[in-house]
Amino acid sequence: MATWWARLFGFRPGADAGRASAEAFGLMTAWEFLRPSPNDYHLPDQASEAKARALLERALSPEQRRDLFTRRCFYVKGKRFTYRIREGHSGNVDALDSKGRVISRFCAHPLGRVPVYDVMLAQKLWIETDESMFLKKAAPYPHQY
Amino acid sequence: MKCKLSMMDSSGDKEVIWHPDSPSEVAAAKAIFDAVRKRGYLVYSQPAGESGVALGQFDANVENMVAVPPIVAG
Repeated sequence: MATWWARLFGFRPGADAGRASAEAFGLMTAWEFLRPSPNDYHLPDQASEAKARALLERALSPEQRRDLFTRRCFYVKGKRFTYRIREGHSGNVDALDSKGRVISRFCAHPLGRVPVYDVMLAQKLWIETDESMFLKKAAPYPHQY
Repeated sequence: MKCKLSMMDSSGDKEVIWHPDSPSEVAAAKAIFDAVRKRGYLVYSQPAGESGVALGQFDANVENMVAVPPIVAG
């Protein structure tokens, strides 16, 4: 006979038990995964930067990777502009005209203390997937800085 | 085939890896995907060397996903 809580929530042992335990396992895994790591309260260290750099390099085309090695920046083609993403946490995205001159400079980065290469990857993804959202949310940044 | 979700954080990134043919691994990865999205993260499919694609829903067959914290300006 089903217990009162099982009847209340429509829980059927057998049919639902496997699904319920899979869901509980999934929730526990998510909770464990999202728990802040000990260095969430400190600035990213060298190991974190190296890990983020590896993630960024995997995402870049050979040409972008070459630019990152040689010029510490890479180019991303949007629908409206071509962007130059320079190494940096803020004010590091330049919108370029067809001759490669800087039209505008933008500042937009992910929330939290993420390594600089994660910032650059996030900016690349935002521009590629939703350029208008990027232009709407990013703050204009003075050219001379 | 092995699939991976990398969530950006101060340690570089946290990774969860699953095999699309393992229901328990897929369920755990989906729970993480949903939890990450609930926190306002944007999740992208990022094939190596190519442009990213925004993901609204979990797809167990996407090889390489990247979860990015919410965007802030300035």
